[in-house]
Amino acid sequence: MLSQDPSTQARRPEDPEPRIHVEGLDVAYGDPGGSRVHAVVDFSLDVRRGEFLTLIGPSGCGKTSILRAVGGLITPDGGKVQIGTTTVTGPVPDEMAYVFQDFALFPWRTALANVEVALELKKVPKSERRERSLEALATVGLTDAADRHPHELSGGMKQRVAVARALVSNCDVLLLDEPFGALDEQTRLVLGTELLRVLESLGKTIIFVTHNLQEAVYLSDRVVAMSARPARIKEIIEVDIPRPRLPEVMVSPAFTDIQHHLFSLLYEESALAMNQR
Amino acid sequence: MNPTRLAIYLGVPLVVLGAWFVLAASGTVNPFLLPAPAEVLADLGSVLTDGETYPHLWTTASQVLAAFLLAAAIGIGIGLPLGWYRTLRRAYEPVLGTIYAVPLIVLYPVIALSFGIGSTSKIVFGALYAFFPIVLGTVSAVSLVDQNLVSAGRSMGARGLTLFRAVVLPAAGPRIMAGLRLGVILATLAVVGGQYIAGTSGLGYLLATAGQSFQTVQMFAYILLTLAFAALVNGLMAALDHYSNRSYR
Repeated sequence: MLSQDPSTQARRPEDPEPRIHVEGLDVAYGDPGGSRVHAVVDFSLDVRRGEFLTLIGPSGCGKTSILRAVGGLITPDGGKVQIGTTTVTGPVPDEMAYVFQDFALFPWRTALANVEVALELKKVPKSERRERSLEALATVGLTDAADRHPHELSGGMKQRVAVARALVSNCDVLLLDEPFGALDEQTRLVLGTELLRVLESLGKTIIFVTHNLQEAVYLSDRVVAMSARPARIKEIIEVDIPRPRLPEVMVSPAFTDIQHHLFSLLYEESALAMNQR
Repeated sequence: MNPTRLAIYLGVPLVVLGAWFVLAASGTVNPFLLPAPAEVLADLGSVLTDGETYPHLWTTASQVLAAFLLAAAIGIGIGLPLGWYRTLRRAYEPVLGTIYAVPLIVLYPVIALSFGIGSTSKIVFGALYAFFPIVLGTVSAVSLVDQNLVSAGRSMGARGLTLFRAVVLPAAGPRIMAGLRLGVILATLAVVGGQYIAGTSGLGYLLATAGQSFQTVQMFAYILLTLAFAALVNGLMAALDHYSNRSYR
């Protein structure tokens, strides 16, 4: 059936080597020597090449910390992250691009210049910068807004500029930290569908952090359900729903079964998390 | 501009001018203490045409500019690392804030003794006054930079000075500018004040000589001139502020 679709095969390569390897990760916050909060304890995970992997869990459970450690934005207190065969010791902009929860666009730059900055920082020549950035904006359907500043863009548009900025450097790993978190439910749904369409055609390796169940199931090849803090893996769920996935799939029994299963997994953890603060 | 807005914009200045006119014309105030507006304006006209005022105006303008640039260079230079490194900020921001609250004029005799009563002491005094709002503005500007923007810059490979130039400085820009605006106002105040207390030229010196020799008409003309100068400086800074932050609006 649909598993014969070439795009499906592109997302399920027969590749034994993980694209990202996380081993024994520890992340703690607070003063060394003082009282420390352990956000992540002994966390290990392999991310396959070309897969869409979602980390889902109660808020404050440490999933963002895992993503920041993978992206090299924080130095873990223990354990290691490998991308390919390289151990991550800081940001690796040639291999990984990040999309932040509140978009993190530079307010003094236009949409186009916000995309270009990724290439500027890599010393890409000016003419090439412009061309590739316009292309990336076109991919997310924002050509018309190229000259507008972030304050002149809607939330959904800002989000798409942020995605274009991540796509423009052609990294094959994307780290998405609740990229829809600041949007209303409808925009979220439409953008999620659109993002899926874009990403399915690009075959990137993606780690996606969210606390939205529907989004997680809809977008992912695998969903990692996390416990309350400190972050541990509760269960890894394979989402065996063929791609391309149309929005209608969200009401299919296969989809709702997985969503319900995830819900019951996360319900107790969320209750636990509520008593942590 | 519609009439209501025009009335609001011009209301207060007109009332003040009207009160001045009425008070002077009615004879309730000694004309020696408060000369009539017409007299003052006529004197301002001759002050502006006789050519002797311009060197003083230039003295004040150049001293204010020098004081401001000096304070900006030192204030921003110290403020950037202080804002960026939390430990430095926690140690020194309260110290700077406390000194800012002290009436710095107590230091003027020291400055006059060290630098004489010429231009240098005015520039140093002006810079001293302008330094504090600039350094404190810069410290808070840098410490308030959205850390998400910094993370975004780092994720794209920016480090060290590149990160500072590409992310931190532009993000802190509007708040640094606010400190600079306050700084230039205080530099003007201190330079004119310094000239008034002990000086040989400048608007403050003119004010002092006119006042001390009971030339009240002339003194009021100089007061108006000084006010116009301060308004011009402030207007220039406002325009610069608006221009440099245009993309944020």
